[in-house]
Amino acid sequence: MTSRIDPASPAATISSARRFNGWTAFTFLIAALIALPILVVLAYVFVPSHGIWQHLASTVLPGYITTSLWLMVGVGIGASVIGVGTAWLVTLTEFPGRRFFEWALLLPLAIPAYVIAYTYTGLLDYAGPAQTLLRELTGWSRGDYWAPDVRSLPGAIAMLTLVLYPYVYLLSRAAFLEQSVCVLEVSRTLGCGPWRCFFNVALPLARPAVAAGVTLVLMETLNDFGTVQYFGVSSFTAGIYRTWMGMGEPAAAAQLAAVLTLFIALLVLLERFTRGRGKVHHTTSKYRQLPRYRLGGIHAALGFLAAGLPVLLGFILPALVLANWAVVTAPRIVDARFFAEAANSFILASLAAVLAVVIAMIMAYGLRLRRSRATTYAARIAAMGYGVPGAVIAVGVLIPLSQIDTWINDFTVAHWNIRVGLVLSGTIVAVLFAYMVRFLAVSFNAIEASLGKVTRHMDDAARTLGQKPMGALLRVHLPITRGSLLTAAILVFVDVMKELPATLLLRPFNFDTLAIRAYQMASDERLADAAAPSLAIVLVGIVPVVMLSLAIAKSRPGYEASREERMAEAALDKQAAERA
Amino acid sequence: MRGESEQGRDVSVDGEVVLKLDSVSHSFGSTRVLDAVTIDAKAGELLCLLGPSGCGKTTALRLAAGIEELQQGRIVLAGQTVAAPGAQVPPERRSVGMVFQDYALFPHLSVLRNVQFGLVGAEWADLDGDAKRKRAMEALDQVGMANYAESYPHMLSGGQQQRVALARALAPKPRVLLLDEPFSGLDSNLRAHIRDETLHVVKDSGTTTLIVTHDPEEAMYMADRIVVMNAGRVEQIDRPDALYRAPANAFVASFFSSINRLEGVVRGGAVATPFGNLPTPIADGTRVEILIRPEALRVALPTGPLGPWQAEAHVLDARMLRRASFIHLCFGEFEGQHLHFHSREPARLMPGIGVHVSVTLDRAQTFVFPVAPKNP
Repeated sequence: MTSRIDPASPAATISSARRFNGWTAFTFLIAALIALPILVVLAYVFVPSHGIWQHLASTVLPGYITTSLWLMVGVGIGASVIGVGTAWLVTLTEFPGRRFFEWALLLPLAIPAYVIAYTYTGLLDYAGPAQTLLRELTGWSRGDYWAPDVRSLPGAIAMLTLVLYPYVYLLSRAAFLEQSVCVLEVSRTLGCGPWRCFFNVALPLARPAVAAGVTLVLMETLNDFGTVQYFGVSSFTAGIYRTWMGMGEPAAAAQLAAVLTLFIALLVLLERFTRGRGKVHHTTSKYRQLPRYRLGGIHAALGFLAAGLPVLLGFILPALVLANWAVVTAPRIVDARFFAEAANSFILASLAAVLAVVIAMIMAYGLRLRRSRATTYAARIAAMGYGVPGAVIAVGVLIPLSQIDTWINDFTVAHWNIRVGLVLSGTIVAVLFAYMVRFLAVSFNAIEASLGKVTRHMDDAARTLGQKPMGALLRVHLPITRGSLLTAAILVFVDVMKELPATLLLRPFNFDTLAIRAYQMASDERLADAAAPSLAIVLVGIVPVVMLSLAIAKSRPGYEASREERMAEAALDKQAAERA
Repeated sequence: MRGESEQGRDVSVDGEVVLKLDSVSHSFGSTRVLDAVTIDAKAGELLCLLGPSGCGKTTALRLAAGIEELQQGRIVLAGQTVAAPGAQVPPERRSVGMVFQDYALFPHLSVLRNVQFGLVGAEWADLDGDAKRKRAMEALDQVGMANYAESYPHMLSGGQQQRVALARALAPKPRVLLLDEPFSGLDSNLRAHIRDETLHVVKDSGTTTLIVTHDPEEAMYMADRIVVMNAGRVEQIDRPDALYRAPANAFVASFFSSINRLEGVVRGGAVATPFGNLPTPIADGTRVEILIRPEALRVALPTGPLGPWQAEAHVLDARMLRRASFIHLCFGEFEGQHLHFHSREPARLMPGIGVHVSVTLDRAQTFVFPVAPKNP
């Protein structure tokens, strides 16, 4: 017989006050930890900074604001035009190469913005192959011709647009595919040509998705540090870095970070507002092969060009340049130090991926066990770090961790007369903490979506069949969601590999990763030397793009994608949507 | 309100009470889904919780299993309180087997591993792998699925999945078996067959069983006793035949079949009907409803003057259903009510439309209840 229960002893088997169990306690703890850096940064709005703030406000702050605004306007417009346009082309027209572009348009996602920035700098500057070729062909010399200066605000806009448009592309494409065939067919029978159909039917219907995509792009724009710093464009993130590292004023940096955070909060609210107002409901849900406009002759060529240019400029060209440089410099660059850095990157990314998946799994499962308003909010707080720029998170992580380190050392000195040093702020603990703040949402969204595969009744069945919640997790939920856990881990792994600002600000002394090395060599104008580590990052970055492409290729009408592929795509879509 | 426990006691089924829900109330938000529900199931008994959707029957089952947290009342399982407000024995410690509407088989495990899943805990700890496998195969054999041990759930039909779910619930030899609408996912031909099979498997196992269903026929087919529920309350608990013959109120009377209804007021210890004054113990002046089962109306061609409990009507339509003719009868105006009654006539009588007939009332299938005040 199963062990019987004595109603007189309440503690062991009869758990009272079950509103608050270990799982929910963990969720609240994680939410508090993740919220801490952001709260610290925001709290600095109220901390007096001895006139530094007034100094910043009267000198650089207006510049940071206008520069960041211009960046957002430029990248926002560029990414929407390219993203929506190409999405429309590949989903609703037919031209040679369309099926290739359908997934190839995602490739620029694999290239971090700072990598494409210095690649184009090397390609287009005075000594670069482009201008050299021009001079050789024409016999001109310096001053005889005009060449664009890549290291400028317009240059930064172009670079960020080239690598960020896929977010808009991805969400718009999904929105176009979702649009009922009937609506589009009706509009065609009513005499709508392709252009009118696009502007009068498809685009208004896709507007919420486009808005979500653009919001993502703008967040990533504000998050970007490598490009603006390298180009000397004075945006917020670059300003935070300079105020902290250059002026040694973490408090003022935190205040800048607070302003930037409010900026982003405003952006998110704006997007929520437009989405709330513009909710579009599809009245029918017949999905068939979409009625494509068949492009011929000159139109087909133009379509090919329009879809091909972003891929060429955003991926093929920079990848070729990098490969070209890497072939020359690799024998010198790929040495013991390179492998040490690769190992550092790998260790950091793996640790972060495992941590993020484990924490997210416990949170998602805890939420499932006991969903209340409080736990839902806690989970949302834990996921909000994704919208906060790495530089801001770095500031918010370092300030409390250094304080804790001070306390620890005070304690150890007082008791044992030992200084243990910076056990938190000076080690990879700080870096991993920042990664969790920024990337926990990635794994959480993927895992929460995949837990949908386990029905409520399966939980109940496992429990009535003698499993405790932990037993059910290990024997039912984990085996069923295994594939999605791997997806989640890969996504976090790749994001960490590419991450620059938080790593740069928080890494332990002399602890370099591939991203740091690439950025530093590029900053030292050793562009070709930076190619090998950059190429390594790009290659790793291609993995999730390939996963996504496969999911897309197989999600076409009539193709029943495997559950894992659908989950992967759903997770990526959700991640994209949730960021906003 | 009628005391449910009182009615529960009316029925004498021998044996110890294995599962007792004791004045259990439950709310989701501001919606009260269970209101002081008291049910007890005796050893080896098969109890059906019957009621329209939303009557709280599934919630009662989930509370018994422990997968829903008790708010008010008490649940006693084999003599021990397993749930009281703020004190719960978790489901894994209750030894209950549950079969879900969607079967909830684990998709990543084979049929055998699904059935073996519950063989954990103290009483199975001594068994080695082979013995557990043997127990699981035994359970599969009980439901006739031993040949599918190595199959995976997605390879099985709905009926096969249902059998595996039943075997999985029975394998750990639970004290109570709980089935939540176990046949609703099956098409009607298969349903009757699986229902019969399940009945025999469950009865052979001797396990005390609670089945939730919204289908009166299913409940009458399977149950030793039926708990009729409506809007979170127990309306009546009794054996199927007793429920049918002596419904406690209008809801129970009308839930088992469509029923003819007219209203009246009690005067001089009786209420007027087209068939004569029906005596009733209900107090004079009470507004009552008279419910007449279609089987209670015997239709015949008039042979002479109307006898006692007879009335004249004309035929509006007559249809042959499978086992009886179904005759629409018009009794004209009666006390301001236009009386259109249905008769289910086993004699396969097919009178022509418009024909005048004499209708005899069977008073044993006629019920008088006070008109319930409308709930706000």
